[in-house]
Amino acid sequence: MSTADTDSLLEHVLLAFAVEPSHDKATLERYLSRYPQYATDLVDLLSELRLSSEAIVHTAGDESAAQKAWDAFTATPPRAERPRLVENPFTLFQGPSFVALATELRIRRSILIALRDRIVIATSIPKPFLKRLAIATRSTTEVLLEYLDQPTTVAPGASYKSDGKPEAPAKIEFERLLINSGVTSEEKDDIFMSST
Amino acid sequence: MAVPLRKLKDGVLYQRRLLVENAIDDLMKVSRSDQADRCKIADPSDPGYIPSECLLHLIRGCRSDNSDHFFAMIFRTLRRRVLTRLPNPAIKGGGEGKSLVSQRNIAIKEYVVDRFQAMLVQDRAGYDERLDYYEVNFDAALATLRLDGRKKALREEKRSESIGYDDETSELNAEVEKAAAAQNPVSESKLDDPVYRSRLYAAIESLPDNQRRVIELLLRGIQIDSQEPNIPTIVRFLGCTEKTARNRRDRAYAAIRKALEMEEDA
Repeated sequence: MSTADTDSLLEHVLLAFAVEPSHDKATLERYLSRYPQYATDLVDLLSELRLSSEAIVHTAGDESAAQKAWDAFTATPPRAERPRLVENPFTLFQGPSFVALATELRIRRSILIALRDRIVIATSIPKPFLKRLAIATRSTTEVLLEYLDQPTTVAPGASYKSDGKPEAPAKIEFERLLINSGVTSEEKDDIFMSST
Repeated sequence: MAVPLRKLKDGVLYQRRLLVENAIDDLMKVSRSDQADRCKIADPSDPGYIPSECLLHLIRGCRSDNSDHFFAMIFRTLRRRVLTRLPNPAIKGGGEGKSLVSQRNIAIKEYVVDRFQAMLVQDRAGYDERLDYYEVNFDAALATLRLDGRKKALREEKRSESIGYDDETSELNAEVEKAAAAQNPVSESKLDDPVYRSRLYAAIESLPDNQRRVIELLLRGIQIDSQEPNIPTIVRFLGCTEKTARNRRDRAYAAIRKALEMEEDA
């Protein structure tokens, strides 16, 4: 690890510790055990967190400094105003690994395809299954929900097969998807109830 | 509902505190001129006071908005919040009520203000995840910059820790040691008194670093040493011997008591 990486890790460890809701014995022990190399920094931060803020005397001089700071800030072009790229939790799963993922989740491949193509209404997915899907894709439920909330994937090729601009198909409820896929009641129970 | 943060903690996204989320939602419902009026409120106990986390959230969302004037005011308010959380460059001690200028405090101020500004600029150009922590708890996150600034200022002053004695080998007079340990100024019963507590904390701040660290850990209920290998102890965390840890503790107790007595006599 380079010095810059080490500094960056220290910075993030201290920030994470600082914003912990409590700095009790258990929290402190957890950080000290996990990051023994930063023990003195963490203990010093405890003192710093306790320091009451001492009011500063605002001098007129800060007005021009504040203006300069604002000018420097606005001189920076803002990042492009486009929706940021939403992480695709299925990127890692293509070909055989996609099949293996369906097997691991005990669902039909067609259901997994529907999820990957964002055909399902995100909020209609039962929480236990969403959690299993997050674990299996090495993602988080938040990332998954954000991904699933995006418009339905338009089939590749549709853009030049159609005369008009292709529109994303409407989304359907998760349960409707299961019914359309013809799953058995045992399979459905497993999907809705299993937490592992 | 404000845009979620992106920083992950153990696989789950960091979340703003509920009071911050509510404050952001409330702020979005009022006009810009009302928001501007509320920016002027400096008293945190005032119901209209805008939490610093909200101000930061607004600044992070400021893009090519036409209301530059509005955002300039939010920016200034946030900057003032940073400044009021830094040690005052004007310190007492100039005689006849005059104040002195602390070069160290000036150095801390410059460091913190510059680093915070750099984060804002970096965030505007792309995304700086460090600011996510500031949206979770602004004051706590700022304490890390203050600490960094303080350490840097001290390094620049080339002030080595006061080493008037050798921690590792010197033996405290046995009688002094016994008396020091017996009169623990950081006992829990005394900490219940808020006046005592604030005086005690001031005394702890003025201890040499090595002694202060031992006291901080004792305050959190961490014991000096243990025969059990899995028990977290001060000796293990600070990498010193038991004797050294006890010496630091006893010297710190003596210094704290002296500071408290002097204050009482004053």
